[in-house]
Amino acid sequence: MDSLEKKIAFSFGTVSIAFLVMTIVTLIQVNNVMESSRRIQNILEPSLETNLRLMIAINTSHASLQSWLLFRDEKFIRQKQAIWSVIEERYSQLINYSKHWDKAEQIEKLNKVGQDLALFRQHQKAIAEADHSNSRALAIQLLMEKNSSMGDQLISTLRQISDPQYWEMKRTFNEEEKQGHILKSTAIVFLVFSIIGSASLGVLLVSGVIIPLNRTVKLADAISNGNYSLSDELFSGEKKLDVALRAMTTQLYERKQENEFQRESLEKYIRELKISNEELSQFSYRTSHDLRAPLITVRGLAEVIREDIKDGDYLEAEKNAKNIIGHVKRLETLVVDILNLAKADLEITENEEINIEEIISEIQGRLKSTYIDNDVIIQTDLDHSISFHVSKVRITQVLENLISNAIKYSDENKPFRSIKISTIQRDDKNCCVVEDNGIGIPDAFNKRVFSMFQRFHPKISYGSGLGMYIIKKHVDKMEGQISFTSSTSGTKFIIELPT
Amino acid sequence: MKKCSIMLVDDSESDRYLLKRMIGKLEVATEIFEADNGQIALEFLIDYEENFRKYPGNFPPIVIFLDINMPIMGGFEFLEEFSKIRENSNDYSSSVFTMFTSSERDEDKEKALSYDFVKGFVVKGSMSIKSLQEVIEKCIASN
Repeated sequence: MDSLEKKIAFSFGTVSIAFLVMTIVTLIQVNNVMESSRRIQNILEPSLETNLRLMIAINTSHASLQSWLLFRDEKFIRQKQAIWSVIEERYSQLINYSKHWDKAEQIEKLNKVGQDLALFRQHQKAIAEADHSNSRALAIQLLMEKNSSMGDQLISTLRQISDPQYWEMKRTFNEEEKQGHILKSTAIVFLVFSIIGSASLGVLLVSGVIIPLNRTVKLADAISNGNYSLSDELFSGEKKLDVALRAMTTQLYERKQENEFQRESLEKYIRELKISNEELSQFSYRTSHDLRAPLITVRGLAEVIREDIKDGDYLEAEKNAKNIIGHVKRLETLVVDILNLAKADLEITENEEINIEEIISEIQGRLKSTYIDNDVIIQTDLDHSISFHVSKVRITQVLENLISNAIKYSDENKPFRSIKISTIQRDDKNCCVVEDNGIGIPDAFNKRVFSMFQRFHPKISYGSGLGMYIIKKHVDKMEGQISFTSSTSGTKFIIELPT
Repeated sequence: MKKCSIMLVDDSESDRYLLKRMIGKLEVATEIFEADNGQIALEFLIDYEENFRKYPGNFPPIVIFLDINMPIMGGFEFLEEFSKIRENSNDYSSSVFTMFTSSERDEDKEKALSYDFVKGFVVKGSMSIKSLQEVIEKCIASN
C-alpha cells in the first residue's frame, strides 16, 4: 500500500462498498417493514373488521328474531331480513380475504362458519315457520333451546378465527416497532460509519495524496532553485513520486552539469581568445613601434649626416653612419625574430628522435660567427639513455635562443664564463637543463620573462625582446613546460618535455 | 628665449643624440640630463637633495622629454609613479613633461595628456626646429 493510485483506489473502494452495503441493508429492512404493514393493512385489519361486523350481524339476526317473537313488531321482521343480506355480504367478504390467509386451520374454520350459517338460517326459518303455524311457544322454545346456542357457536368459531389474527396483528405491530428501532439504530450506525469513512478517506487523501503532492511541489521548487542533493528528508513520502522526482532531478542535474561543462569550455575559449587577442594587439602595437622607431631614427641620423657633411664634420658623420648600421642590424634581428615567432606559431613539424649532442654542435657552429669575441665555455652533460621524441626545429630554436642569451648576458666580472647543457630524467619526465653563470634575471622581472618585448638589460644587448616569448611558444607547442631559477650567480632553465 | 634645464628620458641613444642636437641649435638649455629608461629617470628625480646640491639652479629639470616605449620602466609606468611622488611634494611643481615618442596612437596621446603636468605630445620624426621651440616655450610659459 505505497503507491499513490493504490491508496486512492483503496480509499474510494472502501467507502463505496460501505455505502452500497448500507443502502442494501436499509432497503431490505424497509421492504420487510412494508411487507408486514401491507399484510396488516390489506388483509388482517379488514378481515378482523369484517369478522366483527359478521359477529354483530349474527347477534343482531338472533336478537331481531327474538324481539319479533316477543314484541311482534314488524320492524324486527324487516331488520331480520335485512341483516341476512349483511351477513351474506360480510361472509363473502371474509371468504375473499381468506384467500390471503396463510393458516389452513382458519380457512377450515371459516368454511365451518359457512355451513353453520346455513344451518343457523335454516333453523331460523324453521322457527319462523313454527311461528306461522301459530305455535309461538314452540318457536320461542326452539329459539331458546337451539338458535341461541347456534349463534354462540358461530360467534365462538369466528372468534377462534379473529383472535389469532388479532394476536398476529399485535405481534406484527410489535415486530414492526422492533424493526423500526433496528432501522433507526442501523441508520445511526451507518451515519457513524459514513462519518468515520469520510474522515478516514480525508486522512488517507491528505496523508497519501495531498501531503506527498505538497512536498513534491516544494521539492520541485527546491530542485528548480538548483538544489540537486536529494537527501533522505527531501522525499515526498510517496514511492512513485520519489522515483519521478529522482529521475527528473538526475536529468536536470546532468543537463546542468553538461551546461556547466559547456559554459566552462566556452569561457575557457573566450579567455584564450581574449589572451590571444590581447597578445595580438600588443604584438601589432609593439611591432609597429619597434619597426617604425628605428626607421625614424635612421632618417633623423641620415639628415644630420647631411648637415655634418655640409659642415665638414666628417668625424661626426662617420659616427652617425655607424649608428645607422647598428640600427639597421637590430631591425634585421627584429624582422628575423618576428618571422621566427610566426614560424613557432604556425609551423607544422614532425616529431622525431633527436640527437641533442648533434643539435648543440650545430648551434655552436652558427653562434661562433655571431659572437666572435666571446670566451664562454660550453659544456654538456648528456644522459644518452634518454631519448627525446620531439620536433627538431622547435627544440633547436629553444636551445639556440637560450644559449645565445647565455652568451649575450654572460658576466664579464666573473673569472670565467660558462654554459652547461645537461639532460636528466625527473619525475618520469625528460628534462633539458641550460645553466649559465651570467648576470642573472632581476627578481622584479620574474613574471615578465616569457612576455613579449621584454628587455631587462638594454645596455648590454639591444635584442628584439621576443626571444623568451618565442622559446615559450615552442615549448607550449611541444606540450612541455619551462621554468627557471636565477640569481646574480647565474640562471638555470629547465625544459620538461613529454616522454 | 628664456633658458632652462632639460631632461631626456629615452632608451634610444640615437634619438637622444638627435634631440640634443636640435636643442643645442636653439640654445635654450642650461643643462641636459639624460636617462635611458623610466626607472633611472625616477631614481634621478627622487634623489632631490643630492642633485639639488650637485646641479644648482638646474635641478629639478624644467622641461622633460619622455619616451613611451622603454625597457624596464616605460613612459606610462613612469608617469604613474611620478604623479604619486608629485602629489606628496611641491619640489617638482615646476617640472613639465612633453611626450617624445614614435607612437601616433590617440589613446596614448589622451592617456598622457590626462596628467596635468604633461603639456605636450611630440611624435618623433615629425619635429622641426620651429615646432621644438614652440613646445619648449609652451612648457616654460605654463610655469
